[in-house]
Amino acid sequence: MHAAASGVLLGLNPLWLATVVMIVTYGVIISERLNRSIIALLGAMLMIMFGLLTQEEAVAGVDFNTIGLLVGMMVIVSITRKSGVFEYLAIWSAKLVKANPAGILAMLAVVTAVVSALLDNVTTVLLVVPVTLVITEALKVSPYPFLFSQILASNIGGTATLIGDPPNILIGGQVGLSFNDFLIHLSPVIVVILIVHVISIHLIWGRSMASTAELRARVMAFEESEAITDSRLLKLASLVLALVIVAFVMARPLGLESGTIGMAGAALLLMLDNLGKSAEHQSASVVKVYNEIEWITIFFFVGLFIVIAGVEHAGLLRLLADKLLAATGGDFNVTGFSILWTSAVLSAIVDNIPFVATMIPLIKSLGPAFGGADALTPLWWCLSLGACLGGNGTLIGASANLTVAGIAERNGIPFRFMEYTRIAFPLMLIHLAICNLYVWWRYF
Amino acid sequence: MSNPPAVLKPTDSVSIAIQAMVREHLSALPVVDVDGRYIGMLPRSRLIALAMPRVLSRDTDQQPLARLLQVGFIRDSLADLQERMAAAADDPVSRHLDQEVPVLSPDTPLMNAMLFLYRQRTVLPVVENGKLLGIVSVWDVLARVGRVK
Repeated sequence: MHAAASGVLLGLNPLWLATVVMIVTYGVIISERLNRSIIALLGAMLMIMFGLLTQEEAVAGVDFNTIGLLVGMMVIVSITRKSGVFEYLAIWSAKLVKANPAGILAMLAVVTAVVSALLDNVTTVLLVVPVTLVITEALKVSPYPFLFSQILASNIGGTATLIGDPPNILIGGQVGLSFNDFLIHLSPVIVVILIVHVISIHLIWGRSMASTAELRARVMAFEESEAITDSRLLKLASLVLALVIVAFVMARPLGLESGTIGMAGAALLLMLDNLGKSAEHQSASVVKVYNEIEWITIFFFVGLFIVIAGVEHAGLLRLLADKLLAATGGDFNVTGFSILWTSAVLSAIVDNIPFVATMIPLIKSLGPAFGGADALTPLWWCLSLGACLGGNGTLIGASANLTVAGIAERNGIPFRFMEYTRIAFPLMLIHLAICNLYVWWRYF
Repeated sequence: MSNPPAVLKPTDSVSIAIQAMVREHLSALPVVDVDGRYIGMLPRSRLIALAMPRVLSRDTDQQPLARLLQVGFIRDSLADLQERMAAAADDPVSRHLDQEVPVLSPDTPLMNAMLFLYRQRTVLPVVENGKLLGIVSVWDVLARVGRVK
């Protein structure tokens, strides 16, 4: 401890110095003037160079559960998606409803939500949106409602599980909540919200959609089995994905942490995919998979963890926690509802990852005031629901939103900020109101 | 460098471009305005794209969207492709130019032109002071390099 106190640059007050580094870092992240992974790393290195953290303390602040799970899942997804299984699923679901546009609108929302619960949201929309554009073009219907609905569905579905959305990976990793905890506590309310979402989209757009029998026949002629490019890979990937899910469900009895499970799944699938290939072929295929890891996200997380370790070490978070307690009068319910709504509104406007990463140690330090770490559990669900679902509020609220808008614009489909927000923000408020009722009924 | 076998005006329709390309077995046509100023190139890939689902034709190296998609499931017939192409037949060619075709000048180093041809370009425009001087095609180059009489 004395190293942090005595080694601080020019003998400055560590609390103030750490706060300034954090505010400048977050300010630049919000301004988007510099790639977020660069500024997070710069902020992290300043924390060390200013003597606010030693290198060991900084490394200890990087949560391996989060990083391991993210990298592991990215590897598994980048191998699995080569098999074409997700395109298969989207086409199959469209044919299931006889290529009726309103039916497809609902089915693709459900498919997006389910896939998104198991994969990262951006990956999910990258897989579903191109197929959607092919289908809507064949049916000669506007793709906008479909894309709009898939944005919301991907963020809704992602909220249901530990691995569905980065805020949940963060909360799960740092607080030690299991895959089952997320499933038991979040999926019931997410199912309700998904149903409400599908009904709202149907009322807004679906019921007035029409297509001719001839055009529908074109979609019915799609041969989903042609989307599967590699059935051997599909079997291997399904096996590994199933093993990973089983390991998550059994994590407690097996004594495994989520980072280990993600990395083990990645290693296993890499091995199965490369077994029997020549050495050159192996390195080419492994390099390709590693290149698809989203390094921006990983370096962003690493940097952010260190910045937060810096302010935590300097005592800022304890100070903020005291202020939060004073503001809510130490009332548990008020604290929970405040976390839910504040996270939602903030996540609609700014990146939810830095917010959640800062809130986690903050909420942890409320433990003593509310009777121990276990008593805090409902607050984690408030944070997760608010941060994940809040991202639906505006076009810049989550990365999946911007990904879809980017693809749409390139295909000549205007995707405007205000037009999106005008419908999405009220829907987000309805979803949050449902969450509010749910946590009040179940926990308070 | 050689003279282009055919040159398009920006207002020429897509169907005129297709006819010229098929008749002369060309892989790209330069587009030039009434004063001989270079406007852009219309490569065959842009024309093929007009017959495909839109999302597939928007694929670029920076945004490899369609590469995620296995397209064999789409069971479009010749009639479907013809219908899509017909819908764009009256578009002016200026709407479908490829802005990424590299442009040579008379003093561009030979190796630079070779590199573009190696990277799957078959016809490159040579432009000086905004005017189209001629084209360098893969056939010109192979004939010279391979000493084909």
